[in-house]
Amino acid sequence: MSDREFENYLMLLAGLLRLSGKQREAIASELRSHLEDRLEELMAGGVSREEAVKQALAEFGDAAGLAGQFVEISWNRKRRWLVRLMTFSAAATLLIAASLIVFWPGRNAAPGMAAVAAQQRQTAREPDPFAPGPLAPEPARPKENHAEPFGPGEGARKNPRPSYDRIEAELVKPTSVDFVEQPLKDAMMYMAELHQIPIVLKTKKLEEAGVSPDMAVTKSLRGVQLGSALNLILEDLELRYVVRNEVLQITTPEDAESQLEIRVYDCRDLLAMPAPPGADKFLPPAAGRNLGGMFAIEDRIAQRASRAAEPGSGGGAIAGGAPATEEKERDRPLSEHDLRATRLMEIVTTNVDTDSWQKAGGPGSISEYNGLIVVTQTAETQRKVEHVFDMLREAAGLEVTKGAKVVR
Amino acid sequence: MERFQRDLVRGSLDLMVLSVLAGGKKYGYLIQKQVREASGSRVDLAAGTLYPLLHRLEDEGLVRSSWDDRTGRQRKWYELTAVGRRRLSAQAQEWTDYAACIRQLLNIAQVKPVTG
Repeated sequence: MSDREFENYLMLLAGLLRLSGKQREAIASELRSHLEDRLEELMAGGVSREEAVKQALAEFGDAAGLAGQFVEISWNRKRRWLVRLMTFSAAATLLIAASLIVFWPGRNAAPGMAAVAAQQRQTAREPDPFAPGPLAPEPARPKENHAEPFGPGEGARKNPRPSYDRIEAELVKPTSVDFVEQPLKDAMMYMAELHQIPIVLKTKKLEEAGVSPDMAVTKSLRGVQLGSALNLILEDLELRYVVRNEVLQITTPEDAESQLEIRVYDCRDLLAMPAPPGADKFLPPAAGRNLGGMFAIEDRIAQRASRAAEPGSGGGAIAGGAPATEEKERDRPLSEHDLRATRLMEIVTTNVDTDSWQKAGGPGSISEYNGLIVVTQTAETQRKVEHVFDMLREAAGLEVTKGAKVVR
Repeated sequence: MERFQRDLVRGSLDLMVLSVLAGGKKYGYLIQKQVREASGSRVDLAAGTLYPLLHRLEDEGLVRSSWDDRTGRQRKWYELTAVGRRRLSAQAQEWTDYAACIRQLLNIAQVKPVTG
């Protein structure tokens, strides 16, 4: 029984460690031997087995706290290596430069000098004192070494946009944080480390907004998506995150919203699905009533007519065309596909950040081509749009991951 | 006897562990025991404090570790490195000076420690 209790504790601890498997196992077995020694000693002193188990575990304190300490030590080590690596490469560069200047063949014209210089350069390049370290401080996670700001940049050769996809994928993964008065920059470094994504604080923007990177963060969350966790943490500081330039940036709302991005959503599945009588349950009530059948067509024709009557109404953003094409389009018979696409776009513009679309005087636009919906919006709104499409798919029983492929 | 105040102990934990290791290779449990015995149970180095501390000392290159099961159980043994030994002497010197300084101040104040 004791064994099981120890193992439970050690497993919990190992699960919280977020280190390589080998490191985790090493820590667990070290602590295990301690627990067993302690158990023996207590029992030899006449304590009941049950009581001894309890006491031995109590002396270790809570697993989360202990795991946190081990993890922190490991980070500090990585940070140190990085600093050393940078210091070393700076020193090496200087040395190379110096030997080049001193031993440049044409300068002293002494034969053999070039050879010496070459040799010198050679030695300078050998990372002797740090050989085991910077090159492979941790064999299990070698990709962390060329750590950019806080996190790794994935090998950019195979996939043209791996960082973006990886960050987006990571944003929907569950995370757990327990920050107590943690400086913002440390909290973000922790998240970067935990999810293996590069996170950058846009310090200049934060400075302008009067937010310090050392601002204290206190937040305890368990099992929420990384994106939501970031939102919750940053909300308190009136900050936002945005995925830009292959990193996740922490910045001010103004900066986050200053740039629109274009994304193409493949909604062919949503537009092609059969529409049974009950399928309008995921539409907003007002619009839903009119889906499908003759009513929809009439409604659509009426809409077109009214739009044509007042050319300044900005409806072009939805229809995706200039007045001239609209004119042409009007003569073309409306297909079922067109109707559905228009409906789908309306769902988006009437449910997601309503004020941000062109028809409401905002900067965002949405249009459709053959089932591909093109949206120009801020990153945050894009995420909401994607979420709406996903919810629609879920409600309609379509596969969410397959259909949600975002081409950006 | 009452335990020493936490704040007082905290600043000298490294020194305690390094001193204990000066006597030879030891594993965590032994280190803990020796500190407890040497202090007459006035210092209780909790396991939850000791192991992270050992790992940190190892990272700083002051101790090194190796696995060994000759004692019948797979254990991680720690020993001082040359750097650790130098650090120990330096810290020992500092600590002695500090103690002397406090003693001097107490003498001037003519405060006598209350025993018992």
